[in-house]
Amino acid sequence: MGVVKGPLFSVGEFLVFAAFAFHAVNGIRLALVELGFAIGQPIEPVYPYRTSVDEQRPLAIGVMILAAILAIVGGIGFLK
Amino acid sequence: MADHTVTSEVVFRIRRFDPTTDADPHWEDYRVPWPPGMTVLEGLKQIKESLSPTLAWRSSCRMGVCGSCGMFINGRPRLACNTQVSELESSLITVAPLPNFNIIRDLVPDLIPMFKAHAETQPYIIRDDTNEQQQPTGEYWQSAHQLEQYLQFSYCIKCGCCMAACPTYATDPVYAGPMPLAQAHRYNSDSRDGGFAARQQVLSGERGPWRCHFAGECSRVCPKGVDPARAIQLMKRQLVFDYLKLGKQKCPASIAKVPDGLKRREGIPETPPRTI
Amino acid sequence: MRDQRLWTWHIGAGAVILVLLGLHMTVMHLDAIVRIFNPAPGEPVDWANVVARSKSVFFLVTYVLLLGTALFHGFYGLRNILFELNPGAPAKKAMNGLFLVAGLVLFAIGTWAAWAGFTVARSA
Repeated sequence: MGVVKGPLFSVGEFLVFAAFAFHAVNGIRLALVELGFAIGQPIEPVYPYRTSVDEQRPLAIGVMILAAILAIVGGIGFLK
Repeated sequence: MADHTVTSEVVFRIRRFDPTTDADPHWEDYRVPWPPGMTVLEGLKQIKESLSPTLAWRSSCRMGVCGSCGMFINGRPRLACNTQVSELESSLITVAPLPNFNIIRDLVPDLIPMFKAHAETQPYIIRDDTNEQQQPTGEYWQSAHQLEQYLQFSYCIKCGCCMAACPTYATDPVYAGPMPLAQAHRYNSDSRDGGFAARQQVLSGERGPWRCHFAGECSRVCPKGVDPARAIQLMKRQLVFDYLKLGKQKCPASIAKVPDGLKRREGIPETPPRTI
Repeated sequence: MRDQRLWTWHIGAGAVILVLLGLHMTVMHLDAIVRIFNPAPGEPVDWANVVARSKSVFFLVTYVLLLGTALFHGFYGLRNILFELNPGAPAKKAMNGLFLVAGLVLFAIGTWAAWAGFTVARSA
């Protein structure tokens, strides 16, 4: 059990938690987007074109902010 | 005719390759006058006329509807006829053939693999009533809402810019590419079509949209706003729902026949006699 | 064919893992905020808390479910990444077999360990 109490292990564990936070939140976004849900309906293209990538951009930014918040909140426990 | 005052010059750095004489492609610089409103295609023509008669490229309509002149211009796949030199905001214009394709010569890519993949997806209306298709008795009924589901994807001019931009197509020989997949969806989502099961043979396997990770570069470079990325994600939804048996069974559109026994309303004149 | 089905299950497994792994992360790392799953004072990895979790049927079932879905999701993801590097057909067949066998073996070991912990905690 000495291994799991060391500081290096704590850093590693925090990285796993942060990776989970990002992977989970981004995964929700990908599940939505790759099933065609948050990318807008097919429309008559009028220049300048607003593509599906532009439509899902607010979601992507929200994902990154949420993942950062989750990682920080979870990280508080590791600081102890 | 407007007076095309020459105000400056621009350098075209072109990727040249003649398979009969060269081992590898190489860059060559050409300095051309730059009249206002010059497109990259016009620059190429100027070069061919006065500087290098052996320069080879594909072009046809010079107005962005045929899809022949797709090239890699200043780091992005574009149509040469649709690209103003002024919009590139540089006095050095690099022109290379479309990436992700073999080069036949100079700026001419080998697009056969793209067209082969396209043909594999059976990009045409597939219906059971072949008699009706050969000898039509009426038009197929389609609402404006049904038209909207595929209209955007029907604007594709098969220029290959999306294939050049796709990172998966660049590294994966099995992946069909954005254009074939988007065109498969164009027909799958057309209410007149009944060929979803036939196309599924190709689409549910390795050649399907499963290796698309929504980089979205295809949509960003498409010169006609077709948004192939949107078509591919919508197709994934259609295929997943079909596997989970969640989708509605789609019957191909019926023929909008004119009802029998119709009488002409009072006061509408008859058709004038034919003059031919 | 296979890719259509495997991808669908991959997304479904992801959704299940979201809930179960979220639960695991809440229990283990967000106990500063949510103490409901750690009745004994101290860390979630302290013996009393570990015994409390091992005794519970709820945790046994959710951990085994999490193990199964995570193994499928993880190995399918790894298989995808490696297949996109374009190995030859024999390598692809070998990888398919390897991941299937490894997944089943690890699932068997993990389920056995969870069951063993359950019986030991219950008898203690």
